[in-house]
Amino acid sequence: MLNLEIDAFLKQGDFALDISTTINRDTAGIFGPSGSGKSTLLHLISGLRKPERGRIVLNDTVFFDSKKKIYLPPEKRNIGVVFQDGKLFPHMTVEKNLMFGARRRGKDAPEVHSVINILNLNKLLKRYPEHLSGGERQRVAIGRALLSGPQLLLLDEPFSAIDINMRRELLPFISRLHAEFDLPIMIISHDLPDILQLTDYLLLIRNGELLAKGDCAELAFKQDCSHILTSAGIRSCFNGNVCQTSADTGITTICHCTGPEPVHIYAPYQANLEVGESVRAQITPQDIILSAAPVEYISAQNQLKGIISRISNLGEKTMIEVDVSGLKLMAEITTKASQDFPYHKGANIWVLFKAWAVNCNPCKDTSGKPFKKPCSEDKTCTQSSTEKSARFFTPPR
Amino acid sequence: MDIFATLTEEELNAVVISLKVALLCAACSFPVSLFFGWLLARKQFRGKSLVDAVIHLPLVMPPVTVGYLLLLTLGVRGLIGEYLYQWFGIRLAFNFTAAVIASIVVSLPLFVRAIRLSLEMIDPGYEDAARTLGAGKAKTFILITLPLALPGVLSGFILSFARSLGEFGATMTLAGNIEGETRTLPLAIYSFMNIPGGEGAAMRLAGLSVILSLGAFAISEYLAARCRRAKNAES
Repeated sequence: MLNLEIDAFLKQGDFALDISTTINRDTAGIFGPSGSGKSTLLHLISGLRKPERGRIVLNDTVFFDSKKKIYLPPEKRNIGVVFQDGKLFPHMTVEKNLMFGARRRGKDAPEVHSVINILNLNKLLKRYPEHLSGGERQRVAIGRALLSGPQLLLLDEPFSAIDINMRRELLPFISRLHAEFDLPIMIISHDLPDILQLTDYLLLIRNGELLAKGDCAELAFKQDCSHILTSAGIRSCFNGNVCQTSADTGITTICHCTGPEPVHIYAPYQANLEVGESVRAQITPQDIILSAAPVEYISAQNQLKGIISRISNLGEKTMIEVDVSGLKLMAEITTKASQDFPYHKGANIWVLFKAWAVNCNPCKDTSGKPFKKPCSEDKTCTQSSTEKSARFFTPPR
Repeated sequence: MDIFATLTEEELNAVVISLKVALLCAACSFPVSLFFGWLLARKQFRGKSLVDAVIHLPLVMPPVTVGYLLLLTLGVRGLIGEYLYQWFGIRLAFNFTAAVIASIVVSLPLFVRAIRLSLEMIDPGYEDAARTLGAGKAKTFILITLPLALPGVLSGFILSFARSLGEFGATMTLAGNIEGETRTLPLAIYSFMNIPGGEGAAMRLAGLSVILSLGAFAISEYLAARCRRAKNAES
């Protein structure tokens, strides 16, 4: 388990960074607008910059202590960094780039061929960086950092230099990293959905200060943070398994099995998803319709019964969290909608959304629990939860 | 070759001395220029502009002035030269060493500039990446910074070599015009022009001088092309 203690102060011109916190999660996302000090924080952790005063400790190794005059240079910190545009050495082939940091590898470092396989780098080894696409470059950069056998991997805006299609290509690789290599990862980004693809745990940075930290779903209902998170494009995120997929109907069924009852979500068909595979799904709160009763004859594929677990009024809009058998879904509705619509905490409610509202990416289950068997073999899963719930549902008076 | 067969010993000497001075000048300037180029490109310190100005001074001053100032400093009765001669018996004026020193001082700004510019072009992010991958400062410089600056270093080397081939004023003032020791090509051409009947020799040497300069230019182009090819080798 990662244990990173940061207490750092740094001033440069008008900007001052003053952060004091402890991170003990295996994956964490550092989120903040451009110029908020995210990258500076990363430089402080990796040792590329020195704070003016403070203390930085990772798993009992003191990296920096201004009182004791300790400063460990970056080459001694064993921290892998994936920079914004990869920073692959232009005068070396991909292979030489990959092996650059391999000298200091310990025995726990990942195997060279497994890194090359997982990141799909076999065909690129003899090429020079200038002949790689943005996504390929980032994959090599990730491989290079992994092969140096780091105790922590820092990703600095790994998607910012590549276009949207490459992003889709790179995302699954990044999602798999933590599970495949059992390595703590911190991702820095100004793009919230990118972070959420990897982790739920967020550190919110603003003007060089730590505004809040915690699980995204918690922060979304916290006074100072909800505005920032909703405007940054917050998503409800959950992990699940593919239990059915059909090109004919165009639907992939995802089962979320951690709650008391399995929840089935219908997502658009994706050729790359196979039955039993772990996925991470994201749903935008604006895409969700709330209804007091189930709706018949509607094209929206997902109708889930849940209980309102949290409400947060943000002025022009209201955030509502619905607990669907352990799956927490956030819905964002306008103030007018919230006035027209009677709701209170603890009330039964139906959550409606189109299959298209669900964005799935393959990943390994980050909870670490190996997936036992596909849900489709499970008796309780044969019926869709929609039908089952509908049978027990009595419309309110 | 015919052209060498027709050269007198005196003329041949001039060519050999010129080449020796130019090669030594470029080779000795390399570490010095690398240091100052790196210092000016990467470090912030008090008096940086002064260091910058002193290095660039020979570029804007008349070479004869540079040579004269060097003579005042390094001459046997000069500021430093006096002690060097008295204590160590080292003479840094009116000999072959003096010719090399004059060339170094005059060509240094060109070499430093070339290296500085190419260092400034390198994204410090590459060095940061190397550090996080476990390479110390020295290793990073040798494995990353220097190879990336190679085109600049090479062009600096050729510039220094070529400038030294053409050096006249400072050499004449500090090293004198001693046949067989400090008489380089330009000095030899000048000397032949001043003696009656020397036009033929002056002409031959001028032709050689052109060939040498063109050769240096061709080599630099060839190396630059090789640098580019090495990078584009695979596609």
